[in-house]
Amino acid sequence: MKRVGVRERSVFINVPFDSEYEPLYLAQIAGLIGLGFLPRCVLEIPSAGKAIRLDRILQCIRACKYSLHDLSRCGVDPKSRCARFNMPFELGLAVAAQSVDRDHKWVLFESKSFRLQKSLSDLNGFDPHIHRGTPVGVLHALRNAFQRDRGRPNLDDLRALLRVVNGMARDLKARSRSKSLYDASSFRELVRAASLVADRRYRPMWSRGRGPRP
Amino acid sequence: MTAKEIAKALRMKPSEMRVAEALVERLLAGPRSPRKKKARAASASIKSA
Repeated sequence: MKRVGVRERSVFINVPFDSEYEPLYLAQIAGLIGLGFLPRCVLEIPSAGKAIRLDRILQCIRACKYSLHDLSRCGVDPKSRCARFNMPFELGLAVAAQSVDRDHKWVLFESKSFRLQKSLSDLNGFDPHIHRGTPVGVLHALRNAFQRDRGRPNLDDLRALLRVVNGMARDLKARSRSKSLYDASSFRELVRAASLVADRRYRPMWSRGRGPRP
Repeated sequence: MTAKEIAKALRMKPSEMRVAEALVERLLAGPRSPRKKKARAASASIKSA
């Protein structure tokens, strides 16, 4: 059997880091781990050094065969009254990365149908996966985007893993006495913990064709 | 990807590995509150009956 490299299974996730988006962020982590992928994220990159930071974002995107760009929250932030350019900017970097690494594939997520045609008409002809702003919608969209066959894990399997990841995220916040999960350590710890649970508790059941424990 | 491959790819620090392990251990150990423990025991006994 051909051994697949780390890059082939890595997905760069480009999402907004705000508290409202957190349930969807956790769904991205759980869904990708459940489907056998490694989520990578800009949070892994230290914030020191401005020019170096851009290089490292590009490096991180190029270290992944896939990148996932959620453009559902590019509007004006009510607190700062500023538009959020990070997600479209990183999508631009991914499109540029594709011109260098031909095998890089970028995937678009949106919460509403047909909105992208108005907000980013340059991408007309590329259909985003619509998640309707719900964690289950994100899991469904991830299966559509990344699952090559229609077998296990199914949507219920991924929901079971997401419930576990949500519990661990609450635990992690309580341990670190932090309100946010958007930092490098929390990201790595959650990804690692989710992968351990998937390996120990769920994957053996999925491979035998049985459902997860309720 | 397996958990081992993921830890290697993310270049995790030993302290981060320990936190992740602790999260999983706690999860697999089950609920900590006596009320939840009692509820789980009751549900298990119903299933086995």
